[in-house]
Amino acid sequence: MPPATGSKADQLYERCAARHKPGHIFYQADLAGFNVADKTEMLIQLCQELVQHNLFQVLTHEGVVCWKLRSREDAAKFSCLTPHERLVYSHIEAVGTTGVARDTLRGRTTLLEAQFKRALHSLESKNFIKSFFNQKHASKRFYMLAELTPAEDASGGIFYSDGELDIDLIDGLSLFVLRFVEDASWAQVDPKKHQQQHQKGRRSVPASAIKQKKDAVQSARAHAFRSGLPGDPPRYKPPLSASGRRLVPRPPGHTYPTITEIHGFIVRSQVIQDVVPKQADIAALVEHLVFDGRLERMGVTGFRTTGITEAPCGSCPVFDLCEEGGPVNAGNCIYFAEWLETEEA
Amino acid sequence: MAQNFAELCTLLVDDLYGELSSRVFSTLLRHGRLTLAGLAQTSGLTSRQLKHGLVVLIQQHLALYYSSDSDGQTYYEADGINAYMLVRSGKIIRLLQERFGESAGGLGLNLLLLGHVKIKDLADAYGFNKRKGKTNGPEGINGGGIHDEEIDTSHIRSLAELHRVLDELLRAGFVVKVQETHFRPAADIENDAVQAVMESQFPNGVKGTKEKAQLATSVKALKRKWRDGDDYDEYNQSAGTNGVSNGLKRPAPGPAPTGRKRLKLNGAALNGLNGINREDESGSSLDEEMVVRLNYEKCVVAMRSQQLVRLAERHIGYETSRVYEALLRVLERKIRRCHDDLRDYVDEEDDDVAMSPTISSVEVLNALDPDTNLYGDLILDDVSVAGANGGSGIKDDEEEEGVHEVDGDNEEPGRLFLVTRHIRLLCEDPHRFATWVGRRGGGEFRVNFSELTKSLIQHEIEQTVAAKFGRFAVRLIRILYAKGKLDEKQLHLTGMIKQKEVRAVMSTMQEEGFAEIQEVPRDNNKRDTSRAIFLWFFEQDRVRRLLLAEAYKAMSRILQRIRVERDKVQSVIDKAERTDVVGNEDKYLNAAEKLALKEWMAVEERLLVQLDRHDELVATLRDFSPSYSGMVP
Repeated sequence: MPPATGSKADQLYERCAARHKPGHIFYQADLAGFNVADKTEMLIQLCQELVQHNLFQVLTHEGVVCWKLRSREDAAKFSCLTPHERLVYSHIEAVGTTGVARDTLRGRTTLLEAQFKRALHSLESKNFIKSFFNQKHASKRFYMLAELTPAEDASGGIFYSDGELDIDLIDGLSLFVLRFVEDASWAQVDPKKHQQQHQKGRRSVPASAIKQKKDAVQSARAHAFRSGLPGDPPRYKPPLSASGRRLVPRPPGHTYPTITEIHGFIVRSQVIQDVVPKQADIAALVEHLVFDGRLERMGVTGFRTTGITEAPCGSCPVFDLCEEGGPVNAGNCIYFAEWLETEEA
Repeated sequence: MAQNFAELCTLLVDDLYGELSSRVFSTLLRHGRLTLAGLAQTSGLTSRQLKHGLVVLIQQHLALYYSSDSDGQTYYEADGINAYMLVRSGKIIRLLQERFGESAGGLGLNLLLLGHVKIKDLADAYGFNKRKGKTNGPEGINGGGIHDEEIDTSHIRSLAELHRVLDELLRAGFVVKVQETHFRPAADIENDAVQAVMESQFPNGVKGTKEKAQLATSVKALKRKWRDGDDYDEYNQSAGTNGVSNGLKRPAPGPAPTGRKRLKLNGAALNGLNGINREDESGSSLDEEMVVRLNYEKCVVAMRSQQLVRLAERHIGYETSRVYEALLRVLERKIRRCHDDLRDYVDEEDDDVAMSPTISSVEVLNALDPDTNLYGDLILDDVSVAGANGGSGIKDDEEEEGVHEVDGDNEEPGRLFLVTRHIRLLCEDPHRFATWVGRRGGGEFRVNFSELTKSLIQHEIEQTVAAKFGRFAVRLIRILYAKGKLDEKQLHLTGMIKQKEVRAVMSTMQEEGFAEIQEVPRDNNKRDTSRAIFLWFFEQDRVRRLLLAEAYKAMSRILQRIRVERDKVQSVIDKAERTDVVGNEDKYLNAAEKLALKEWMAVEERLLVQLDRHDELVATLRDFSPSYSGMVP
């Protein structure tokens, strides 16, 4: 039975609850300040009473006893726990945000498997505890109090969900970072405007010279055609931005975005729900992009996007077997035939 | 690798110089150093046949020989690297054509076909108007002989022009005077040099480390002298633009680089004009008795420049890459070979950089084609950029202002400034295409070739890895290259790849030899594998050798396939080559035959392009880096 309404203990609880939300921690001095009990012994007695009814929870902080406030509903739920459940609960509570593996927990409670299982199940269904995957031990199920969030080293940071790398989040955030860095590290040129600048930079060339040059190019092409070789096409297409504008390098001496700036941008834009990524998280993300060849380091702290895409080339699955006179050789190679389109596959 | 390399070289020799030569060559390559008697024994050929074969091989620098004073024997050795260079013939001719005009291209082709030649004989062969049958000989790996008319591009019309073109090529270092040592195997040169130095400087033998070091230096100097000939001292002292005067009777007026650029860009029209101008001034200026040949080492330097320009184009932009090209070409005049094994090094890396030549913006500007549009990819001011957001506007720092002002006196205001801007873009790029040295001449720069070569090699490796194993694999390789040895866990964390995938990707790469694993015991209990740490690592040099061997093998396969394809249509080719058919193809060949020929040519062209790409790869992996150049793999 909870303490009777209007009793001293109830008064103490009400005053605590009026000022603070459940979960707040009170020290003896705080409680004495409510002026419910006349003497210290009395106060201790009242606290004891509340603890018995699960409205308070005893904790120690640096050797000093303190009490944590619980809501009445929780207390009610807590009151109807079985002793086994309470035992399991207390062990889970003790580990805090690190969580504890199922088997370790059972060992600590010294319960039988069936009892333990029932208690655990019951606690989970009543929403006292929750399970999660620890990134370090991906195969094991970990438990912690329902109201807590797993510690960084247990969950692995923002890029992990359920103990696995959240590839979708990483890819999404990467794109976001890349776009930001691209805007800040390359100049985007409108094809039209660029043309004007082009003209401006050109010396005035007499029309005859242009014609001469054109003829030269034409004859070179014709020659190339005769000799069976294609003319020199532009080897690389200029890199384009998402909006189709040409990317042109910034002038020398440009300051490129740093980790701090990228982090600031991510935080400001609030792309990730509920979580504020740490600078170290963003640094790891940027590093992975550098290794992926999508960002490159400029100077000591800056980054820019690479303006290129990789060109693919083929590879032979039976290359090691291939030798003259062997079962696979240059004469009977089907891959050659396929590539050269000399035979219908 | 040696096996693949030998196979490839033999195929190349076979294609160009026929079965007899290739049999002699492959025997030498497989058995190493042999006397004529030894050759007869191992090859099963008669000594008459062998002599025929050897003459061709020696003429083409495919075999080296050494007549020993002590036992009177002559030993023969195959030169694999020179044999490999046969595959590069087309590229070298194209390169000469591009830089020095069509006549140089034609001359280059003839020099390639002749191996080495006395200038007088070369002039005779030309007959000053058309070439004699001699130069029309074997036709390169194209085989077939259908493209006969293609050779007819060399427009050397007079002795004077021949001398002018040769002079130009000699000065640029693409043609060199043949020294006697060029025919001798490296080991014999070493022995002779040591002996000569011992006799002259250390008649009482060498004692102590100091004298040993002295001996080594002297031997190197002597070998250098033998290799580079008379111009050695001059070259080393001036190390400048005009240092390479190779057997010239009088120094001709300095070559005009801008003119040369014009040659390249404007093609034949201007070229002819230019040629006439030069003809008047330079008469027969070369020593008629001088023996010359193409210098492959210099061609490799040019190939390196090409590849670097391509890399710059890909990463920065077209206009900047043109500036880089001009920069590298000016530098090339000061560079003879990618790496000189005979130079005196104290500390390889540092010396390499410190001793490398520098170049100024003014020099680049002078070498740059005046029509090059320098504005193209250059953003002068962030304000002028359309749609730029987030970038902090940049103000010219004092140095640039200074350059701008100096430029005011120039006939073309701003061009020097623009060139410097482009070079600074090259400096800022993560590849470090150039490094800033000082402020002389509007900005003085240097190119760290050894670092750039490493990044070229790494680039090639990464491309191969990407094609073979996918994106994750490249990421992992890059991580390992940057961080050294790492365990699976660290790879997974840094690469943000799931641990299971890391293991899968890494073990496939290990199977193919691209990555290696090392087991490090955690404690003294070495047999307990569960208590061991497994570290992945990637070694650039190892993978480089692996790719090189694969490239050799792939090139052999391509050459073999070319033969297979040719055999398929051999009858039609034979018909097309008949003297009565040539010129009357429409009359004698039916539609099916024409189609067959056309298809065959398309197929062969593809294979040759692929061969060419592999050759680029070989150049990157083998020829640019110090540890390999000049060595037979």
